[in-house]
Amino acid sequence: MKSNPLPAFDGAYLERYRRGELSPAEAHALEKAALEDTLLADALDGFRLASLDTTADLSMLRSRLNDRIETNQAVVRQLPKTRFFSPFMRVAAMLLLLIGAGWFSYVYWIDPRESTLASNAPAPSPVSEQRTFAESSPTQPPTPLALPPAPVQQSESVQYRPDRTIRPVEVQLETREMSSDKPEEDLIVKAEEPPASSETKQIEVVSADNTVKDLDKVNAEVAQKELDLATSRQATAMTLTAKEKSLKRSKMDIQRADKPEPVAGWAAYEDYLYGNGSRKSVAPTASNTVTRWEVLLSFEVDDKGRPTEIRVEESGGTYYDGAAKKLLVEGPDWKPGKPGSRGQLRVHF
Amino acid sequence: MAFLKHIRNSQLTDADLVVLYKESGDLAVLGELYQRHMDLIYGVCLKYLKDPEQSKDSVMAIFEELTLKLRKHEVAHFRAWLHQVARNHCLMYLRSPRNKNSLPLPEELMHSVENEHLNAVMEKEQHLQDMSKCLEQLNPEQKLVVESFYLKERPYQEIAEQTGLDWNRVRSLIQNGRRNLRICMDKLTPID
Repeated sequence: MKSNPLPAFDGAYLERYRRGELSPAEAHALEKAALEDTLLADALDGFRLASLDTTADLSMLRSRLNDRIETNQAVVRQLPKTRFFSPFMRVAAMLLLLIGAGWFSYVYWIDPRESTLASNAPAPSPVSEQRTFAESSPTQPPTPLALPPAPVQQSESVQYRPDRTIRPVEVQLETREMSSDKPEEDLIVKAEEPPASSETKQIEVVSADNTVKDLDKVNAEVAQKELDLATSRQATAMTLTAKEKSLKRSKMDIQRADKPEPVAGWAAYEDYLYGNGSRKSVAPTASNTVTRWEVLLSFEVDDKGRPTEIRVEESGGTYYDGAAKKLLVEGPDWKPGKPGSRGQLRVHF
Repeated sequence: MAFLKHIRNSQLTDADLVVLYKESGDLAVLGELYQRHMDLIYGVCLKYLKDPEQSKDSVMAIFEELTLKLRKHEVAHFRAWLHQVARNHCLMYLRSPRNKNSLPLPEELMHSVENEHLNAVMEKEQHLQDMSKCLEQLNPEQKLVVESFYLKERPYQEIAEQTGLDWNRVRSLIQNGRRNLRICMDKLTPID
């Protein structure tokens, strides 16, 4: 039943009944309604038994009820402002959110190595091929770099330190000084193609060969590219970082003596890497615009001279890890080093 | 806005306000609903407690009970349910050891309890022919009072003055006569 008539017999009406101010018809209607409404009947009894005027009491009750409701609403309005949504809390929550988002982005999305490579990639450097050296002994002549047959359109350049005059000879002297106290240091050979090419490739091999040749020839090549280097100070500053990394690696590689090495020598192995078509198989795809990746593999050599137990020490991603492993597995035989020693091969793509 | 809200709520039925309060928990809605019956609740408290101050406190305490109970219970008929809550509150107050000796419950106020189920029965009052037969079966005192109240529509006070009976005696005769009439009419017209 939707219709619910408002109570016709309120406190004032009952008070009038108590005072005898109702007409007989009104009183009878009230009494008759009370016979059918137990609440009204009880209320009628209560008012009839009241000794004093109930008007003031009813007025006070309404006032108390309104105060109760308004107090509650005031509390409800006040609570959110003071506890949850104050300006200070909003600013604090926003700052906390920003800091958290920044930390998350830094930890999970920014790969320091990728950012370094990316910063190197767009460098407007005319350098198409770089060479770094770490001489095994200052008394020995430098060995010729085991470079692959360079394409016709490629040119050569040499890294340098921007805080010095651009003379590759000085660079070599510096590296000689740094390694002069380590006569047994391995040779680090690093060949790198320009990052702009889709077929760029950089291979670094660790060699125990202590003979270094044709340093004069390299110096001559460096002299020819001196002017080009002068126009690419910024780019070479970035490659210096790579060179420092290479020097650090060379120090680490000093301890790798007596480790497995290619049967045919590092130069021949490098030729294999360049010459057997592996370059195409490991070249970056069109969708992958990153121009350089490197993978460091470690492995053991079995009795047949084949690499086994290949392990990725420094990953360049799933694609390049697989490509490097394929090069190693399908490549020439290796000479085992000391028992239990593991060979290492760093492949740059 | 509060004024408009009050106008909007005042046009709703008790059942609508009950639903609205259950959904919103708005104390203003419950206040609007309670205020419709608060005077009668005060009268109920006066009847049982016989103390105006205690009755006023009880009226406010019952309101606090409603804020919780109304959200828990399914209430089909709010007015009857509220009466039950109010009466239980007063009886619990009287039964507590602290108040047991201070406010004895007068026996004359207990008469209405037995009449709670008369509402549906009174629908049969339309059967006047049956009623007239049953009126003849009442004792003379009950017949006189019932005829004065229902047929002549006299208030209790006038009947008391005419018959010389006490006001409570008049009401008691009427209530007993109603019960006897119900029994008589149920025999004549069995309830389906």
